[in-house]
Amino acid sequence: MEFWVVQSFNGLSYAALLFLLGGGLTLIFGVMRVINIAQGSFFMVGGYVGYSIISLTGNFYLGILIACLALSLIGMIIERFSLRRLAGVNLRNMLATMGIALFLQDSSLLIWGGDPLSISVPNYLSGSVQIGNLYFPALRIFMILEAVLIFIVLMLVERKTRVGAIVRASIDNPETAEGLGIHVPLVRMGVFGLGALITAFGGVTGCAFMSIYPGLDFEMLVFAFVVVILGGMGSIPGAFIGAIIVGLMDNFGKALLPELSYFTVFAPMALMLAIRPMGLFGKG
Amino acid sequence: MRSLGDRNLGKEINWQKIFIAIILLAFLTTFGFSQVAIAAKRPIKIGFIAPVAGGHAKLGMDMVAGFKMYLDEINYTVAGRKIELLVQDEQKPAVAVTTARKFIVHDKVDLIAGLLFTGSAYALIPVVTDQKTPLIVCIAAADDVTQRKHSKYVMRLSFGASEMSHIAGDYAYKELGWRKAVTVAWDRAWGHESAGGFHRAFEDAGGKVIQKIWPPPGSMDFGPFVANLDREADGLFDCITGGASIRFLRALRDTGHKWEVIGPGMITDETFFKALGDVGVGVYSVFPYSTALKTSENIKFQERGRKLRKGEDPPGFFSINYTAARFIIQAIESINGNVEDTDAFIKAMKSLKLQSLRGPLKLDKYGHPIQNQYIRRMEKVGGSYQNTVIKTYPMVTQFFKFDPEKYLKQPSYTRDYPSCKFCK
Repeated sequence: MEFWVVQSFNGLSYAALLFLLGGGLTLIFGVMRVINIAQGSFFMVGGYVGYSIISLTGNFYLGILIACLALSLIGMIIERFSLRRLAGVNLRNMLATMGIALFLQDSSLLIWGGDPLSISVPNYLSGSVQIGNLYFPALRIFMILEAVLIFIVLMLVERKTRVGAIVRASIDNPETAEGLGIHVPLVRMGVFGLGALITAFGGVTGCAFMSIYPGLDFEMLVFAFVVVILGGMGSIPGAFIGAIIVGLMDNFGKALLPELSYFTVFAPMALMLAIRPMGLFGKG
Repeated sequence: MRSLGDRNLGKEINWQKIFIAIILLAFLTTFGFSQVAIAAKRPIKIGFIAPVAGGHAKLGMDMVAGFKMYLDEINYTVAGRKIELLVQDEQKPAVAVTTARKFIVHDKVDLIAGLLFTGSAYALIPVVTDQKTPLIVCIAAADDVTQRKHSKYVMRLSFGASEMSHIAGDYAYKELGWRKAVTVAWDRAWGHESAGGFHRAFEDAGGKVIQKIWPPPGSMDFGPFVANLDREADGLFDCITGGASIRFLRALRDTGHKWEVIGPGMITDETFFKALGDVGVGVYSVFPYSTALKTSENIKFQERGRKLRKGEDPPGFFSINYTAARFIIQAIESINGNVEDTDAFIKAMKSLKLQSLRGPLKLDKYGHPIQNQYIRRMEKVGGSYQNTVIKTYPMVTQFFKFDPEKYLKQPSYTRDYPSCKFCK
C-alpha cells in the first residue's frame, strides 16, 4: 500500500514537472505552428535568472516573477526579430529556434559559468511533509500545485476571456481576424512571450528540483516533446493528460520493471504515433 | 543589347580573375610560410582534444586550462624547443576521430592529448596505432583502453573506472564495516565498469552485493529508483555522476532513510559544492586527488591556481590535466626534446616516475597510471566544503590485487558481470 502511495505521488510530481515544460511548447505550437527547439533553453534560462535574483535578494517568489518577465521579454524579442521574418514556414522556424537554443546555451555558459548551481528555496519547501511513516518532499508538492495553477489559468484565459477569444480567432482565421481589427502579429508575439513566461514559471521550481547546469536544456527537451506528442500538439488539456500519463507510466515502469527503464517514457509515445498520430486531443 | 551584354561579360571575367588571384595568393603564402617554418627548428606540436563547447564545456575548459597552466609556467619551452598547443572541440567520438586525423595528417602533431569521453578514447585507439602517434588520455576512464584493447601508443594519465571502485569496495567492507551493499550506477559502460569493480572487490573481501540498479542515462527523476532500494543494505555505491549527482543525492535524502554512500570522486567534485551544499556532507569518494590534499606540492599549486582562477580553487579535472602536462613534458625533456623518436618517447613515458601534486605517479606496462588513491569524505570545515582525505591507498594499479594475466582473461565488467549471486 505504501509503495503505491509513494510511487503515485512521485509520478504525479514528475508529471507536474513535465507539464510545466510541455505546456509552453504546446501553446506555442498550437497558436503559431512553431516547433520550439529552444523550449528546454527557456526552462534552463528561467532557472538561471531565478537563481541570480534569489541569490541577490533571497526572495524565492521575486525570483520567479523576474524570471517570468525576463523570459517573456526574450520570447517576444525572438518572435519579433527572428521568427516573424521567416513567414511561418515550419522548417525554417524550427531551425531558427535551434540556433537560438544553442545561442542561449552558450550565453548561459558565459554568464553563469559551467558549474552546477542550486536554487535556494524557502525553508518550508526544502523539507518533507511526514504522514505516518511516509515522507513527501515539500518541493514536489509545490510543483504539483504550480502545474495545476498554470493549467487552470491557461484554460480560463483560453475559454473565458476576450484575450483568449482574440487568440483563438487569430489561429482559426488570421485574415478575418485582421479584417476585424485584431493586430495578428502582436498576438503572435504575445503568445510566444506567454509560452516563454509559463516555461520560466515552471523553470525556477523545476531547476530548484533538478539543479541547473549546462546541458540541462537539451536533456529536458526530449521529455517536453514526448508529453506534447502524446497529448496532441496545441492542446493544453492534452499536455496535462499527456504529462500525467508519462509521469505515472514512467514512475511505475521504473519501479516495477527496471529492466525496461528506457521504454517506459518512449513506448507510450511510439504507440501513440502509430495508432493516433495527432495525439489524444491533437489539432493536427 | 550587345553593348549591355559586353558590359556584363566584362564584369564577370573581372570577378573570376580576382577570385583566382586571391586563392593563388593565399596558397602561395601558406606554402611559403610553411617552408620558412621548416627551415627553423620546428616547435613540438601537441594536439589537445576536449569538449570546449556544448553541455560539457566547463569540464573541457577546465582540462585545457589545467594543461595550459603548466605550459605557461615553463614558458611553452622544453629542451630548447618551443611547444605549440592546438586545441579542438571533442564534441562526440566521431568528431574526435576526424579531429585526430586532422591533427596527425594535416597539422603533423607529435602527440595527441586530452579526451573526456569513453567513446572517443576507444575510437581513437586504432587511429593513433595505425598512424604511430602517441595518445595520452587525460580524463576518459574506460577500463579496456589500457586493458583488453591496449596499444603501445595509447597511455593514460588520469584514472580508471574500476581502478577507483575496487578501492571503494575494499574500503567499504574493511573500514566502513558494510556487509551488504547496493549499487546504483548509470546504465552505460562507465557505470557498468564502476559498479562492477566495486562488486568484485567488495565480495572478494567477504561482502555481499544484494541489489544492482541501473538508471538510464539522462534520467530526470530518481524517485522510482530510490524508493525501491533494499534497506537491508549497510551502504550504497553511487556512480550517478555529472549534474545528476546533485538530484540523486537529494532524492536519497528525501527517502527519509540515512544512506551511507561511497563512489568515484566525481560524485562530490569540487565544482558541485555550491549546488550540493549539506546534502553531500558525509559522502565518501575515491579519487587520485583532492583539492584538500595536504602535500606541500599541492598546497603551493592550489595557491598558484587560485590566483589564476580569480580566487576559485583548482578542481579535480583541472589538476589532473596539469599533472598530465608536467608528466609529458618531463618525459620529453628526458629524451632531450627528441619527440620525433616515438619509440624513445613512449619508453621515456613508461619509465618516468614523477613526484606530482597527486603523489607519486608512474605508468604500468599497459600505459595506465600507478598512483595513490585517496579515500575522501565531503565535510564542512570552517564554513566551506572540502573533500577531506581520510585514507591513502598507496600505488594502486588498475588490477588492484588481482593477477593481471588472469584478470585480462576474464570479461570486462558489464551489467551482468560480475553476476549478482545475492540479488533477490
